[in-house]
Amino acid sequence: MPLVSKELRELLSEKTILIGVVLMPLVIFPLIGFSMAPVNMREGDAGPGAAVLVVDQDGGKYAALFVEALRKTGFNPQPIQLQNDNLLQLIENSGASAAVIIPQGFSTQLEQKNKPTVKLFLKLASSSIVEFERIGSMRDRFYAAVSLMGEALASEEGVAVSFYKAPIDLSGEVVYRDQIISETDAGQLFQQFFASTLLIPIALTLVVTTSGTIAATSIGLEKEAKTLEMLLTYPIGRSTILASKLLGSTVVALLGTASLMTGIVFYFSRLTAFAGMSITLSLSPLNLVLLMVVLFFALVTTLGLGVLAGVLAGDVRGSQQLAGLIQLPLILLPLLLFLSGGIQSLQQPLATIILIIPFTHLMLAIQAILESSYLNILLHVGVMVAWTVVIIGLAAFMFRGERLLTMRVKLGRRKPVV
Amino acid sequence: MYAVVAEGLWRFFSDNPVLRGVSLAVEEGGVYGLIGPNGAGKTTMFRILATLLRPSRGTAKVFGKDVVREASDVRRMIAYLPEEAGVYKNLTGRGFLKMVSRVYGLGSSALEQGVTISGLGEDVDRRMGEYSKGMRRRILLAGCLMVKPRLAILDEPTAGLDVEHSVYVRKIISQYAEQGTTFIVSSHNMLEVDYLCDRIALIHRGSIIAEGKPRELTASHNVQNLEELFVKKMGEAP
Repeated sequence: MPLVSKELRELLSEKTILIGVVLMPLVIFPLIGFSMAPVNMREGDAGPGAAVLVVDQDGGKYAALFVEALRKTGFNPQPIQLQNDNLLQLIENSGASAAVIIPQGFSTQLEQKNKPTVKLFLKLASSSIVEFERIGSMRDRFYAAVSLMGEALASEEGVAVSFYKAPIDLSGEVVYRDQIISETDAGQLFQQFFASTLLIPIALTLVVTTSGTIAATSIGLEKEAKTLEMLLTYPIGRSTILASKLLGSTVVALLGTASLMTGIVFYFSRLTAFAGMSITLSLSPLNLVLLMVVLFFALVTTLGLGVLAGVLAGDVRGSQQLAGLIQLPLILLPLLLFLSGGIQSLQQPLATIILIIPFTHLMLAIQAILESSYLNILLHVGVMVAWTVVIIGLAAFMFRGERLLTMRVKLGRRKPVV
Repeated sequence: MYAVVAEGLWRFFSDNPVLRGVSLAVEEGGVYGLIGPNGAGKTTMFRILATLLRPSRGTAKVFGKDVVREASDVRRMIAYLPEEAGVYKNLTGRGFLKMVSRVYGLGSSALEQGVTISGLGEDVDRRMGEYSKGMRRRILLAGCLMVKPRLAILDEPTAGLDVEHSVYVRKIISQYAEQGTTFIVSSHNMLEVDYLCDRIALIHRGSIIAEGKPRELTASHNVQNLEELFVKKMGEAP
């Protein structure tokens, strides 16, 4: 027991452990929960009153019954006539979340106890978890409407149980990026999206976090070994020393980037090989270059943060702890929010705060690259470049003067008893 | 000409004065010892002369150049060896000396000079992470002296070294002092101070309490050696 007590005292006296292991989850997950609550509420697009375009080519009583069933399941059916219009354009222009085409002969087929097929088009606004969840939820409710139809049919005479349980076949398709893709493809698209959305940011986050620690360690080592004092008395400017440190760390970071990009290219080549789909989230050579650019700026920004941590701390351990403490919330928060629901789903004040964090733009840029939204890529890369300049400028400022030697930000760990 | 002239140097860390109006003048050539107990202000004084710290008040000049306003000029004339300075563990001794010679814009002759000063023989091509403390001190001293500084500031150059390495370091310092390099060194080893230094200053609690040639100081204070002088002056100090 005395040893356990000693261990607990030692471990809990380490602020990084206390903050990283105990306090951070207490802060981050409620924050995500708080931010995600509006996401679910905002899903009015899929919730009660969601607009559904109804192309009734039948006009019979069962078609009317199906429309009523849609209404009862919470949709807002909006009848339209489909003539020479393009259904895709109609869905886009109306702002509806879905469209159904009730075919000619729908009522007759049901009277003859044959299953008619209703075409269902679900609009996928973007490749995000929230969107995939939303269309999944809508599809479930369309099936609920079919069940309601079945219940109505069950009251009629001579209807077999197997028929009224599923009286209508739903032929589901997904509208994405002005294209109609099958639900099977959408499922694969979701798998791809999930694989890329999860793995690429996590992999990038690992490389980026490691790079920041490299820069912090580089300065921490110099301070700890007292080689920095000698280095600073050589007839070279501080800016040269800082540039050398950044350049050295950047080379290491670039090696990491190259390694990661090779892995990602291989990863995507396997994904597309398996999928064989008409639409994929695969990366074009241009997108790969853009991903590299985004990663590079994220790395340089992290290196700048690492330099700051190195300047502020007194030794290797301190600089690594400080780098972790600075980076962890800045990288983890956007990553978790991104994986959970996407920045667009946040309430405005919270979204503004999250958008200030440079690494939010790393996540958004990755998403934009996966969706080939080039204007958004440009915007987020621009923000990241601005942040890079600011952080490197701040690092250069901190590197000047004697604060490099005299600053000793301590994380309050207890001194060992001698 | 004076190698170092300090006038009324004060240095505070927060509200704590580490140097309290230190004034001293070190003539060019020879070895000048700054002697004092731990925390007396020696390292702070050295760091100011090496342009690493700024004085809170007062001025310090190295060969007429102000350490604050003309810091880059000062850095071209000095070499600084901090107390317990470390090494780049993954560089070889030769690699380190090569880096120093390139930083100073010197050629291969300086590098060979550095290798000679270090006296490490074939070990100069080993990684410095494998060096003993004495070997590390020798390679760092070689890095300082191979650039032929006008002023070498050495903070406890032999602290923690065994006899063999200490003797070697002292020999190199004497040799370079004879060739014209000015040294300002600190040490807790009074025998070493007596052997090396032409003049010394005793610093205590940030103030110079005695200054002069070792023999003159021991004679004027009626003591046998520098250790007795040190103890006596520390006892007298407020």
